[in-house]
Amino acid sequence: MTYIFVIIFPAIAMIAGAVGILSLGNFVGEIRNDFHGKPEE
Amino acid sequence: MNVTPLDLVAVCGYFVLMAIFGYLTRRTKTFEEFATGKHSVPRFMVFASLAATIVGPGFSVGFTSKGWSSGYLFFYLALAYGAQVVVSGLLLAPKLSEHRDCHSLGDVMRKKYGPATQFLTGIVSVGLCIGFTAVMGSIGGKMLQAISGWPLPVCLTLVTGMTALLTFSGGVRATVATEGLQFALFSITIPALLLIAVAKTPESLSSIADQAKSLTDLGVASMSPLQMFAVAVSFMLGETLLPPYANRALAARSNEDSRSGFVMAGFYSVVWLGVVTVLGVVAHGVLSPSTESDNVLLVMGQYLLPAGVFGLLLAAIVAIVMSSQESVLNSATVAFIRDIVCVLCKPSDRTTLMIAKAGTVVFAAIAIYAAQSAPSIIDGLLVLYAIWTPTILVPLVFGLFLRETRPMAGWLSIIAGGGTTIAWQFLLAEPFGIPPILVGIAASLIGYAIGHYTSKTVLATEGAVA
Repeated sequence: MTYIFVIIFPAIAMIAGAVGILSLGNFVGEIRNDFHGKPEE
Repeated sequence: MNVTPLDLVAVCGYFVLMAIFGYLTRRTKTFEEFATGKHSVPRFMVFASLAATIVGPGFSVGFTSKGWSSGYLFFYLALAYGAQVVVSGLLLAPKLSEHRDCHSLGDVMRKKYGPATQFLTGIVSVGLCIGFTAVMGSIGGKMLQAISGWPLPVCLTLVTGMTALLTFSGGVRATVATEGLQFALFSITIPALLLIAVAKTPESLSSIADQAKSLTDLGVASMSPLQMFAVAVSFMLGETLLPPYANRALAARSNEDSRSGFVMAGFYSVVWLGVVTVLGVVAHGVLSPSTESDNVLLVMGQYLLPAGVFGLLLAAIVAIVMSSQESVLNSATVAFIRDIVCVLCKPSDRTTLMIAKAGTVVFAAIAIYAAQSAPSIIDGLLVLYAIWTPTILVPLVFGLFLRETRPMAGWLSIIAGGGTTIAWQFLLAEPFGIPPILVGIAASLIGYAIGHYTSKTVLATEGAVA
């Protein structure tokens, strides 16, 4: 259990955080486009 | 707390980043955008936002403290929480997302049971969310005071004021976006601290595992089976579809986005709780045994991380507080407008948006005042947290799955569940150690059955959400 907690779980959480940053860029772009009236893809 | 100028720069940098985000995602043209973001939130952002809301101070600093004192015991008990989020995602969230014309949980209740049930749902939702905003603001303010040394009123106002600014300007989409950033920040920083701690501790992994086992055994010995059962039940049922969670389901782009977002958040909560719990165990190889359990996370960060990087950890902890606070503040405003104001009168969309923005500021002000001067207000509002599940869960679940519902069943189950829970918990002081939430749900079920089988009145049109 401890091995999973200290090796696998931190890796999963950090990958989720990194993917979060990438998704965030798209999401903010969508909000900006929507607000300024540009067509969504 | 000894904080270097570099650490302070990192914390200030976080607030500047949040302000920039507030600017980028600012402004909403309609209340529909403010409340549900025009149902346009994609699945990963539903997940990140939900995860950021779920991970509050209790699920971070609190679980590290539990890991320090009782090993993996609370992690095992909290698996019930992850299971609840996954089950909610599979069964309830997609059903909620089907109600594309609804802005709040109260709206769904109105479609199924009429305005009286919506009004009751609104009262519980608004009070609960303001209470949460105050609690989170209080924790975040005290944390910022410990970091900066600034006066407490300034810190309370800065934390809750920044949250209100983000929520005020952009509604739910701005909230989801900033929560996404906060999610990324703490999802990278805290696990990184764990990896550094494991690398620097003189203990081997097998001795950490032995330490965890002996701490868990100590924890199990310190609680009766009934106490452990009550904690697991609270984790399983206590926060089912709280207003901010339900709002994420309603804001999702589709039923599938809603389902996936919830399921991922449920699994993530297990991963996250594992990380913060084992941090408390690993800390035994790094810190003195006399360290206060509540301070383990911060003290370990200060001990292990270089100047500046420790500031990032502090920013991550402030982000954990603020991300939960943003969701509940936004939900308080939406529930106030839809479930209370719109039940009593029908303002225009422009007026509704103005009231929503003003409501955000007023609720934030109430939360700051309560956190600073009137903790009894917070205590009073948190009674509503105790009655959330026993009042709302039964009529909501039946409403989502039954084709034919009766108004009397809705309001009777809310009153029966809430009244019984309050009496069991606060007047009778939990006889036989039976968790109030179970007694309340049983009463709510009985109230629902009486209302359903004795009333002949059925709502004429289900889709009547104005």
